[in-house]
Amino acid sequence: MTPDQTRNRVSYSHSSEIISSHRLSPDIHRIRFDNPILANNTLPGQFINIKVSTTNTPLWRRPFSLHNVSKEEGWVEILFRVVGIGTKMLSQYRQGQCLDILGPLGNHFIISHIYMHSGIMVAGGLGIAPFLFLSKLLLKDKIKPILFYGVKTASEFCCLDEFADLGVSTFLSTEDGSLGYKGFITDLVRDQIDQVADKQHTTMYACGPNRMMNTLGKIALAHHIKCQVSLETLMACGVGACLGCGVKANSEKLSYRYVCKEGPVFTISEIDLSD
Amino acid sequence: MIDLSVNIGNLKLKNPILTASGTFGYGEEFSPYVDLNLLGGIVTKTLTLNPRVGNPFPRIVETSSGMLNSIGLANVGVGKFISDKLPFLARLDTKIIVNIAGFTVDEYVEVVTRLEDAEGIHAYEINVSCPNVKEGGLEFGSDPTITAEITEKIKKITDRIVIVKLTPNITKIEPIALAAEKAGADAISLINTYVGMAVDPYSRKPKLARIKGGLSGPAIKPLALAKLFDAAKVVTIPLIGIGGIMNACDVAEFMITGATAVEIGTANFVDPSVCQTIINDLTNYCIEMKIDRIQDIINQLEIE
Repeated sequence: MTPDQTRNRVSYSHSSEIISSHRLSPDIHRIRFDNPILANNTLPGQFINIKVSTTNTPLWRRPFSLHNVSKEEGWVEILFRVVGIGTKMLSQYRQGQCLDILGPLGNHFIISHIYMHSGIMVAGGLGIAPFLFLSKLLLKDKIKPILFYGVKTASEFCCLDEFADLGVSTFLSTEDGSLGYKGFITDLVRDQIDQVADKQHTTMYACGPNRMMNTLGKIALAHHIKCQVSLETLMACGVGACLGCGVKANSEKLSYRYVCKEGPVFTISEIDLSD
Repeated sequence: MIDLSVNIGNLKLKNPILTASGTFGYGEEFSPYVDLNLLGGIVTKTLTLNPRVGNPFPRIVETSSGMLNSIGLANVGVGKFISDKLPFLARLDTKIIVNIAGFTVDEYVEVVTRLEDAEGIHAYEINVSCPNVKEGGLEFGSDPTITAEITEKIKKITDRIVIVKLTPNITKIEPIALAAEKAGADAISLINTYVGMAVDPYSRKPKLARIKGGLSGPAIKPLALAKLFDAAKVVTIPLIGIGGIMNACDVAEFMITGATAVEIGTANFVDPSVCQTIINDLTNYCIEMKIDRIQDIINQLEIE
């Protein structure tokens, strides 16, 4: 199955109560919503579209990948950085308030029980968001999760404790050298890839800046490792109607793939991130 | 029992709620969120003779109470529409209005000719007003003579209802509305988007790859109502109001100002089930206002 074949058939719009809202760093927040239906019907890589205002400002919903999910307790979490008016408003909501959530939307990461012994997750900055959820599923399937996680400076790391508690092998990098390898995470991946995984039995999952994912795609190709990337774009609707969320397809003739409906997860060979 | 039905020429709609072209895909995209059979009608994404990939990205940007788009008529083309999209639409118990555009007058005619052989289409909406393509489009819609020529030629080859969709990017809408009416249009829908732009003050770059785009959403509702008001004064054919409608009260505003039906556009992006909500709320509006038939409010603007 390719990511393209997994796009969801069912999604829901629900008023969801905020169970908790925490500021993890000056501009990074984590919100947990009570939503048992969503929690029981979603997979890592999928996203939700949240109406952050009851007025027309801002007008669009805001898309967030599912960061962490508990089927048993019926909640879902998002992790986000405050970057504009939508995320700013979202960060100001408190426990007990309700927001309209549409989802799950889009397709999800593919885990192959048949060949995978390990899964290599590569996160750049807030690209870490979907990987806590993914780590849990990999572990459930007895697949070893390995995390490469790069940020600009050490204070930007989040959820390191959670990954440690799960027993995820973690490789860190910072651009300023304040923690872990000094430089880009892609360089660390290139250095370590031969040691960390049996290439025949692994898949690389990447989420972060397009330039990072483009470089990873090349590394994966050179090492014959399967690579799935999760993309983030502007989107007005999230359901395949506005045609605002395109990414160039990897084809001779110019064409686009739409992130909300055909993604957000693509195999690296499907798309062209070179721009 | 509240009667929400309205008539566009001899086309009876079960209610005045249509979806605006380009905001509802080819219908199927919204089937998880809306019971499509409840809609007054579905207006499809604009079809052109050949498939189009559309404009480069970024194509959309959020603005105050609205958004700009520069999609560039990305669509599957008329052939693939007939083979892949129409069969789903044709099975629905709602009116199917196919929005079409061309880059020459002949191309408009050619698209309609191809669609004439297909079943399940109730009406055409002629897009002479897309601001996002280099060729034709906007220029056609701002010229009464060409608008009339396209309308006339299409009317000659079809018995289906022909709706002409007008641009607001002109000084006065009355001459274009009159030209469409005189050329035989069964109805006029108005308005398409307003040309607008947005700039990133930090990078100094336009926020859209194509620099300018079409403004839609609640921001343009007062402008749309004013254009509708102007058109309603001069034509007698039914008008379909479009522009920033978010709820049932907005629908009532448009109908009171002169619209027989309305199209819901950008609101579908914000809430994919909004059309169904609006239809329910429109019934509630009628109950509250003690109106038995929604058509009784059409053109009932009270001016002192």
